[in-house]
Amino acid sequence: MKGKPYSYQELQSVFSIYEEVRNSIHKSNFKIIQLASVLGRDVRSVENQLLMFRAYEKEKQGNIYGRKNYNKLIPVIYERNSGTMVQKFPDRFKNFRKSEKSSVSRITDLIRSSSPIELIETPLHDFLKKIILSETFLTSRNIIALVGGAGNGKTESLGYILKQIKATYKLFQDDDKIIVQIEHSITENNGYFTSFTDSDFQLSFIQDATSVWSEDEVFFTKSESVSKAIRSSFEKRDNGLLVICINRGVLSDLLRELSNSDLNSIFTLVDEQSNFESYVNSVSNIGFAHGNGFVVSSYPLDKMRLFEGEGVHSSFVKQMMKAEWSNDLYKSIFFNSQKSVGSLLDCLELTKGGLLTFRDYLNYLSLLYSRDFEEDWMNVPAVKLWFGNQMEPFIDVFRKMLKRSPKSSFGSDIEKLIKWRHKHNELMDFELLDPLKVAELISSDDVQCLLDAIRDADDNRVTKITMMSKEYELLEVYTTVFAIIGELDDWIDKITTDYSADRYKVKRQLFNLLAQLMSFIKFEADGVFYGSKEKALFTGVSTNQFTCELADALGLKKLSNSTLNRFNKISLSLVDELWVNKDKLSVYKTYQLDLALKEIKNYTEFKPRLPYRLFEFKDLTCNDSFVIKISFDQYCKLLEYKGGLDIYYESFSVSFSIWINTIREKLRLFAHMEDPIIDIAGDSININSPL
Amino acid sequence: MSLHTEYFDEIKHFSLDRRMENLPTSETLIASLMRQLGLSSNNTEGEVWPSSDLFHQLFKVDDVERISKVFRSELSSPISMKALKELDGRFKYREYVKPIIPAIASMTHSPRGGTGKGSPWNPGRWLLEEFALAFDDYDKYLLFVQELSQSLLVSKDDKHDLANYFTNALNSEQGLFDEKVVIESFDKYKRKSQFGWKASSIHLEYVNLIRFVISIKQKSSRYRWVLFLDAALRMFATSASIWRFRSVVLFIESIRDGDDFNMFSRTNGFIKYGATRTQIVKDGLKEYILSYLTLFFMCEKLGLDAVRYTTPDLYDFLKSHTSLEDLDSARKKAVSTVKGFSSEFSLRSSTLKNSKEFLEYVGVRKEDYSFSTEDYTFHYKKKGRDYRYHFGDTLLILLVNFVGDHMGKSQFTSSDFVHVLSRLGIQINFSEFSQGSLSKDLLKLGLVEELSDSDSGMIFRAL
Repeated sequence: MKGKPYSYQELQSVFSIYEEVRNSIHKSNFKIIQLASVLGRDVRSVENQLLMFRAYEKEKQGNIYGRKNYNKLIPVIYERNSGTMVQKFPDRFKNFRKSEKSSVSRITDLIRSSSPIELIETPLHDFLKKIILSETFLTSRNIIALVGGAGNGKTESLGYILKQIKATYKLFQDDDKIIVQIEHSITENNGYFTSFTDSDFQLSFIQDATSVWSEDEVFFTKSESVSKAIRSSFEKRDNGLLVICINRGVLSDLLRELSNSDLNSIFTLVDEQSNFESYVNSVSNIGFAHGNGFVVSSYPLDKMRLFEGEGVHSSFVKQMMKAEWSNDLYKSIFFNSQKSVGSLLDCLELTKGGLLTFRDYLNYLSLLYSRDFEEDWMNVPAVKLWFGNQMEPFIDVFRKMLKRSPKSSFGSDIEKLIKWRHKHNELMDFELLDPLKVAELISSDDVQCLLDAIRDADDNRVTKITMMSKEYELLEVYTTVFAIIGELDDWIDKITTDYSADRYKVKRQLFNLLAQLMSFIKFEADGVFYGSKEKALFTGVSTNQFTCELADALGLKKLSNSTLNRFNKISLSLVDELWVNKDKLSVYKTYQLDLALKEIKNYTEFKPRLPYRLFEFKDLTCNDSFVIKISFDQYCKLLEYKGGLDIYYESFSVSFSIWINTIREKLRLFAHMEDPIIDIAGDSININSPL
Repeated sequence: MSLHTEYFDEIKHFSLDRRMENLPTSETLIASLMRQLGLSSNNTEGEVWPSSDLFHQLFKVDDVERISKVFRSELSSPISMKALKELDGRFKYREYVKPIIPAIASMTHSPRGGTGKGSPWNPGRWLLEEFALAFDDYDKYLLFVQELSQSLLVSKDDKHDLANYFTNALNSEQGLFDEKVVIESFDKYKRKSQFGWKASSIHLEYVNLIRFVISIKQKSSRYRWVLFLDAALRMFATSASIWRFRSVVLFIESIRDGDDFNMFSRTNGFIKYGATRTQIVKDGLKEYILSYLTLFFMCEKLGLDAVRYTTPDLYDFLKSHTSLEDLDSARKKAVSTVKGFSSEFSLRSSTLKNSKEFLEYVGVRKEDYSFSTEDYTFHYKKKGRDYRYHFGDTLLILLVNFVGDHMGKSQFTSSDFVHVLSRLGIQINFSEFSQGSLSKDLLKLGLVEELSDSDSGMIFRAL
């Protein structure tokens, strides 16, 4: 249908997908192809209409955009419909999905942030408030460095700073003026450096120190750009605020490259305030006065734990109470699984050593709660998380057999889930936290009883389940998927044509799926989850006990009459190797030590708490020491082998044993060699006398 | 006509004339290297197996039992299923003795196991010849080999109790370093220099890596140190061979792009971290054959006797006398020749078969059939159906410490790591840190402080 102008209706339907495809308007986008075939138009022509909407939108925002002309109907449709464009949940979850294309938020987001996390307060906000509310704020040259990688919410905090200054000092009240200044910075230096001035106070940002200042096609180096930005911020002024968003790599590059000693010492200060050693030495990160009236503060965003204590997730859930939902079922799914999901994310963060960013968090939310499938039951987080887990090898048998069943699509639905899970690799991280691995939570009898109950019930529908003699109410969607599983289980028993091995496999998988759903329901209702016990121990256990457990693992012997954590002996295998072997003879030697072991409290005010615990090994003879950190994972392993610890156990995780052996090897350097006796398979041998 | 031999004779500069057969387990590499250095008694490959009990030969009679117990329990490494079958269980203990003491190593690990007839491939000699490529100067090469052989001996200077114990128990003096083989291996390289070959920077980087391993001998336990050396040698074996394949491909590519000739000083990574073994080895070999034949046909068209030219001269001559069309038609001819003589060029039957097998085995994790010992020295890991380039734990610890040593500080960033690794021929994409498993492995071993998805933002910490 070439040459015929688009009608109002046609353009309306094109606009209906605009919001969804706005970031990927190109001819291979499936949504666009689909719409084109519905309208009977060329894909390229639909794409063209979408670009016209974009052109109008850009023009409206005062941006420069390649395309200047558009259909007269475009503005009409845009204006009429954009009011209703605010999406409701659960569709809005899709917007949270991590996009691979843009890793840096746009500076324009500063003003009209649509991010759902803007209202969530974290320790970072306390830090920023403390600086902005300090008495000398308006009279000194403030530098705030936000140190950390992408997705940690740096741009969000820029918006927060602006808001705080607005509220506290009544500066920058004119939004239009701010927008003009932002645009000025974009044309002037490609958005590297942005500054706003009001009543003699200048607020400046380096939004991303990874990029560089470019002016008239001339690109400065990173260090030149930073120097230039600092000059522009404080030239001819005794006050102002410069916020630098910087990651560790750039920071270390700057330390290497900056030749100006003044600037170099500013960044040395930033590094000292925010690095790992700053925790060991309890260095404060706020308001450090530096020559020329600078006051330097920094915040290590990359060490911030999102889910500690009340955490980001519970604030988000609170916000969601007020959010608009287009679908009550999905609202109930959300509120009936948020506790488990929060707990899962908390645990995931700990196992990853505190490495979950805001962006990851939003991405997980989008994966777990957006409507990705047509069937409602497939959109339940528990199903998305666990179904298909370990199913891959069986899926062919599974699908083939179920094809002939009354629920013929179940097999291919599961296959769809598996494919979807493959596309979103990050979901594999949860595999570790499989609820079935939690001991004494759900018994197989419960699962079998439920299966029988489903098969006996009318229409296979049950509304209540019993686990460990406790009753639980069911959501409608769960009832649906339970009914499917029950019916299939019944059907398999009746057919006789297939191999019994295959039938057994499929039956076992169905059993597993049911068990997984059941455990998820129980987790949600009882507020327990994988690792919750260990987590409480990890954060709560006393220094003394922790030290004892660690010493046990390392083979350290305590000084008998010492009340302090002092150790005098270590028993080492002479081949402290990287292997893990069970019931193996070994060659041992005991070394003399004079070692003190103490925990370093890693909490400094206005700094995020580290996601691991720190211990210092100090050799009292030569005053040498080293610090190790123990993560949640490692602590769990320690607990597992509490008591008669032997490092060379097969089930010991390999990396854990490597880690422990590395510490032991370091301790060997502290040891005093005096005794030539080694223990070979129970015999004491003097190595100095010839055999 | 056998095209195969013809083209190998025509352009000697690039031919891989040494067969690389047998399973290059780590023991074989180290043991053969030791034997080549003369650090062992002169048993030939054929004599090794029939000789009587190993421990009786090596250790003082009184303590044979105890020593063998120690060896079997502490220093054993797994035996392959195939080898176990071949041995009928007769020499069960010999095969899995780690070559910690040179004498033992050489006696039990002849380059060719089993009955050991025929002329076996010699991995130790091959390693030495490859190392020779790193040097222009014989004295420097000799110095390096001396350092290496010194480190392979067990002596009281090791300041290690276990080493002490073994030296006390040894029957006789250990062998002495033998310079003959060093001269020979350097001569082999010298013949390459007739073709204008210079010391290659990639080889030199590996020499530095090995030197680093030697330098940490006293800091590590014996077993750990052998694993480090093992991992470094195996990685070197892969990189050095792939570099040889790549050099021909680069030669042709440079002619096409009109670049300057810089074959020996290229420091870019040519093995992609995370690539499959098929991509690296098979595709690498195929591309090598095609480029080699392309070169052959280009020379043939110009009526050149390529052997008379040095590599740089050949390059300059071909660059000025060959048009792009010539190159394309030579390439087309190469493709059709490979298709036409498929039996000659197939990787299953050609002389390159051995190279292929060697490269496929040298980096994979050893299967453990009989013991619960583990191998951490691999650089291919099985993921799903494929083997992918992936540093084993030992290799990872070693490389991070090497980079730390190279930078002269214990803390550095991911861009430093990537930079130094590219000099070793490994190209690591930054997405490996954010999306791949590399960063997780590093974190688990405590080698990085935290993960970061920004380009260079990860802080490494040498242990």
